Amino acid sequence: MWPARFLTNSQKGENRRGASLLAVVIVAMAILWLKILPAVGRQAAIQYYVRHNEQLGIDPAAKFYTELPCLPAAMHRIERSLSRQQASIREHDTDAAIPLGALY
Amino acid sequence: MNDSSSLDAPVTVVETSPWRSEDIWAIWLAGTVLSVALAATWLARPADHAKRLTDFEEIAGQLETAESQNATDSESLAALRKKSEAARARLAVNPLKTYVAKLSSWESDPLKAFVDAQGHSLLPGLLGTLVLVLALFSVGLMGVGDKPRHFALAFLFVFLLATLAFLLSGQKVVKHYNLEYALWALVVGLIVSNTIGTPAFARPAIRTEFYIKTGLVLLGAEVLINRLLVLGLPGVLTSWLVTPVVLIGTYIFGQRVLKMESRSLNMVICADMSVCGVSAAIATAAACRAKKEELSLAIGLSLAFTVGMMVVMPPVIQWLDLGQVVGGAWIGGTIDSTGAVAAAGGMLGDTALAVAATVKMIQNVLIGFVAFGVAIYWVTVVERTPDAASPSLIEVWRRFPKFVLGFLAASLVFSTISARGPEAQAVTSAVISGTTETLRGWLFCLAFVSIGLETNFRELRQYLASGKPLVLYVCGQAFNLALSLFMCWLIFEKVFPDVARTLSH
Repeated sequence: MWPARFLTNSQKGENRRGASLLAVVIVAMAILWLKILPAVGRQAAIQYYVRHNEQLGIDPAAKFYTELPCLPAAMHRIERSLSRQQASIREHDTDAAIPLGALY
Repeated sequence: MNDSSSLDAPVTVVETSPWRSEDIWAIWLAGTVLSVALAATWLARPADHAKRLTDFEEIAGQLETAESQNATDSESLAALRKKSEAARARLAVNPLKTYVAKLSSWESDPLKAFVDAQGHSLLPGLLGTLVLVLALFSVGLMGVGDKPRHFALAFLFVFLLATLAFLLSGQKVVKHYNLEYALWALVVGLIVSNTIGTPAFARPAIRTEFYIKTGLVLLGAEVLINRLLVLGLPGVLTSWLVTPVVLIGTYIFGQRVLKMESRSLNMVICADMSVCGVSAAIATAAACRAKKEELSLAIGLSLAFTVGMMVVMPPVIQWLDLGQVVGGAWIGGTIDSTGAVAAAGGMLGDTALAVAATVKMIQNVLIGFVAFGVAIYWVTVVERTPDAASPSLIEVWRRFPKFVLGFLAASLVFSTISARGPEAQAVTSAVISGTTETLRGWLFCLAFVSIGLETNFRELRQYLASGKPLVLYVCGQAFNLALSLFMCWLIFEKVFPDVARTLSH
């Protein structure tokens, strides 16, 4: 958008149209984000879903695993479960023909 | 990425000094951030770090004992797990954490986005981020031979738009339905460029590729290769067998059956859908020099389908009675976005959440290998003229997107450090969560705002007109769903049923 004194009449018209369109979009987004979405967020089902995610440490907007608060605990739980299982398999493996522990 | 207006235009490699390329400077800038953050966090280890390590090992031992005895008191077990995580977090503190910040989520009052969970203002951190990124890229622009004289004002404008994008994505309903910041950054940029037009003063800061490449090198530090084996062989088979088969199969389908005009668009959509959503799309787009509009389209498709899959898959899994382990693994292997995977897994239960998030994490680690493979394929096959001989190694090196090497190097360094024990792991986690993850997010957001500011709606429409990208995505995702389900069932029900039983307890 250029200062008006540098523009032809049709360019000025285009500027005004662009500015008007931008104003309409801003107002629409403001209504959506400040009124409609908060109202949707107050619905019981949505509140339950949001609270459930927050309690479990789930960030639905996470792009990468490092952004998930719940992941370290989940990962350590899985590591501990599998290492306990491997230890138990090795205890029983001494007489086995094929040591299952080798699969892990 | 390319600016060429014609599809599949041959790539012209402009001869510049390699030391002035954005790729090299992306590595320098990101490398500086990673080195400084790592050194600061290591040096700032608490004076009693040896005692804290002992405490952590003691609590970890107590937790191990309680779990192996199948303790039925789930409340005390949960409390012990929390104590263990807290003890782990105390092993290292990132002193630079307060100098960078991202907005908080909010419900009805957007001003709450500028305050953290403890009620402290985030403005100092936001200002710190602005100053840091401005300084970094001012140096970077000088390095690539540009004059950053008008950069500061331009950057302030683009940064404010990125802040608005984060604000829009932080509204809780928007956030919890996975309508992430990349989408809003694009929308904000598109609104400006298609209404009043992108102001001329903002152009010096529209540096999409530079932001993306630097962000990707920072992302490399989060790709910890030792995470690959968390789920053992079952996890590797679920993630690493299915993903390349779907990626390559869908790409071939796009070229041979759909006859997609743009190979790069095909590849970005395939990576987006088969690996892990937006982050894979960004990495692949940079590796194969896709156009900005192609990246935008791929991300738009992915986000649209992700929301649907996140809502539909959990009830389908319950109806099919797949169980939490198979169901969680299926979710992890198919839903594009990491956050949406966790949300969907969480709807099924704790075990499904743990398995889904872990499978997705393993897929996240694949990003580096995919980006590297795509870059090699593009340079040696796609960009080769039909009658030319195979490119020499020097030619391959010259054309290769060097930032991928920075990405891999960051991954290797941080993986090596992280593998040295709980204290080193705590240091790398503190660096990632306190500095690099936040900066990486800002850089990607700045990149998407820049894409929006340079894109005309008409340019996007031409890609949608044929419908092929949509057909490609739908067919590829259908293939992904079917193959993933089969593999998850085979691995966790038939080949390693003991693993599934153990994880279920």
